Amino acid sequence: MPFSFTEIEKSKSRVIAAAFAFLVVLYFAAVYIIAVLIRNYQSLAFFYADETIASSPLSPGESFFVLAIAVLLAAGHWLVTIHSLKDRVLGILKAQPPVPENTEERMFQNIVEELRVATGGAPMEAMVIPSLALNACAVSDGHSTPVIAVTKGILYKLNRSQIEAVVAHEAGHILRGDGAEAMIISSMFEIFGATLRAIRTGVESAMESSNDPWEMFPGRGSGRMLRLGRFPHVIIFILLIVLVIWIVHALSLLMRMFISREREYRADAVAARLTRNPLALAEALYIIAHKRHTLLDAADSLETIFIVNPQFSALDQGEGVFPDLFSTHPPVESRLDILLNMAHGMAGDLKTALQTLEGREEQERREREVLLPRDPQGLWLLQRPGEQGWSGPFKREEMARMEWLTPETLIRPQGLAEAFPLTQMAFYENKTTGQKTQPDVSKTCPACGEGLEFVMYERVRILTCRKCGGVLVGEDDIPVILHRKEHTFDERIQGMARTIRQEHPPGQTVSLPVLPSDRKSYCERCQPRGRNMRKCLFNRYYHVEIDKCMDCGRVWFDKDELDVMQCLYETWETEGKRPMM
Amino acid sequence: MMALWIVLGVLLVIAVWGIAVYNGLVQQRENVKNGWSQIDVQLKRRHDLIPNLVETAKGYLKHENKTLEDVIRARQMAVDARSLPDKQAAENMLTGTLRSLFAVTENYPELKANRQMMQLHEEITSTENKIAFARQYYNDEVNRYNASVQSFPDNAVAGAFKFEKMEFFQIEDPAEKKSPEVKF
Repeated sequence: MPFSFTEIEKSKSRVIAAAFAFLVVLYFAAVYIIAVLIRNYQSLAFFYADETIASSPLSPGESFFVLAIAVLLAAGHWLVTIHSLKDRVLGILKAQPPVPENTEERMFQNIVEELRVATGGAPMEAMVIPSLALNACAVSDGHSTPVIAVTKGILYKLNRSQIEAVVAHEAGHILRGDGAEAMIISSMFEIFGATLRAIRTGVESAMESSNDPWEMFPGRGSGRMLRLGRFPHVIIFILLIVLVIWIVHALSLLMRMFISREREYRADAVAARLTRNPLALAEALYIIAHKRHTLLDAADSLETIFIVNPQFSALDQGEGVFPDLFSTHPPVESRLDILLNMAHGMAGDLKTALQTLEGREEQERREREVLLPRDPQGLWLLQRPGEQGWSGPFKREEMARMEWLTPETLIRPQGLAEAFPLTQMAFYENKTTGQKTQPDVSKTCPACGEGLEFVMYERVRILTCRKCGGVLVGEDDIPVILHRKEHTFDERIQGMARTIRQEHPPGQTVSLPVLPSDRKSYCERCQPRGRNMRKCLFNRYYHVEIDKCMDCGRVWFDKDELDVMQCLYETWETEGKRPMM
Repeated sequence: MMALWIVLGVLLVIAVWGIAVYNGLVQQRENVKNGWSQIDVQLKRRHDLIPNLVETAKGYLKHENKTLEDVIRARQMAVDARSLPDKQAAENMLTGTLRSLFAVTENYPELKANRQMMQLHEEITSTENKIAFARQYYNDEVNRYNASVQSFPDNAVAGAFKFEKMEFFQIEDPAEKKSPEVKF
């Protein structure tokens, strides 16, 4: 029996009630212990006298009083947690409303509205996270309008149906009510963590900034510790703080028991139902899982609200009692299996299909590009085979977008009468400039295993994969390519470069966590003896994701990444700062 | 005496059940109406976007008058249609003419790259998606409603209060029925 979205009840309040009860128990235990200690305050001397604690439990009346206090504290804690939770989380993620002038963001806004129609008008808002990583989350607190936030990386790398599937998945969380659950539970101990972190930094800065007259041992770290050794109370205090922070961290891990992995499966099901297109969601999950999906600044506790766990967690890959209890996301493979089953497909096919799809578009584009004249400024006229008139004049960039071009299309330079089919362009240019190019298909692509071939790119010889569009460039060729400016960049590449600049100011040290990927990329030259290519960011200034061969130094760029790097370089150059490579 | 209480109890239970079923049917019927109005809203939005589209394209598509006229005519028919079958047929035709128009613009890269055209294209694509989703939602709700109205024992309540089956909204898209072309 198909269910109606308007009938899905909000928030399974059982989980929330259980979490609240847990909080009350916690406070009860804490207050009880404190009350017992107060009751036997003389025994506090135990610390110095090495005696066992003389404890007498409280009477029922006193216990009830303690319980009342515990409930009050828990309620206060709860209210503080919920208060402006949504805004705080959105602040951490630096989420912004979509800008209508930006094509991708406008499309995203439209997609969210489409999903609203699909659910019969459920309230939802769209927001964009300024990061090139790929991830998405639903932010709701149970009373205000829920928000679906998506990174810019998703908007650039996924196509329309895939973005729709991701948004539908998040809408599924919102509709089922478990978006609010997850957020409240994961933020519950954030208040402790934040307070304690503040205390710790306060103590640390007090220690460091002290121009105290007791400085008997001038010097750095060791001197300070020695100095502290004269004040055992301070050390104990600090140790206690560290202990409490550790306990709070353990507790927040414990809270994850309340968050079921099943949430993700259910949201996947709702997404498939909303879009009637499980394959798109499978493609989207696959792409997200195999590209960078870590939001480097997001707080640990927020991982539950994301579609793919932003922190790499080995626990996620497992099945069984322990992972089921403590992991917040199921393994991506299982999710793919289920979705592909719905779509009557197989995981192996998915990978090939995705690469073929991307590759085919890329292949068509590169076939056209190869046929076109290399000069970006020249003007040309085109004639369709069988027609009479000439259309144009067009520049190289415009011709690259024309999907109707075929190798038989006639072309001639503006102002000259000499016309020839596009296939002869290479000969024409060789005649006029005297250069030669040769295709050479003998290598294998590190990403998809297909053949690589040499092409000339900005007058540098590089290897490119016809299927997936990636390029393999020698280490020394990169500065040359960056320096030459024969290529122009469209809106999309510029947008990606801008996002990288916003996300990380250059110079900041960031490290890319190791991504679990079934892609064992070998540099084809070093393959038999060499190591896996290492996935990392290019360097401190260029936060572009690459695979680097550690043996011969060659760098593999996926489709678009080299363009983004060039765009970054040129932008910095025009601003007068050219970061060293 | 005992028997009286039992009978009263049973009647009470039946009444409570009946009320619950009635309210459920009312809710479902309202959902269906909500779905219908959504479709209407999106169709109207499409009608409103088209004049702007034609204006923008006219300057570039000087030799494609027939395509533009087809669009304008189909739009007018869709706006004027009243009965459900008429509406369905008119919207169907309008979808077809729009598709031809967008196919034609492929040959005019200047038009295709025109910023306003790109925005309109996105808006119309989005509206077409919304129409599809609204139709999907409406049909899902009609499905549930029809099933409730006809299943036993709820159909007793439905019959008593004149809840009747509703029709699905079918936009037959001839293009969807053709098998996809394989390019290259």
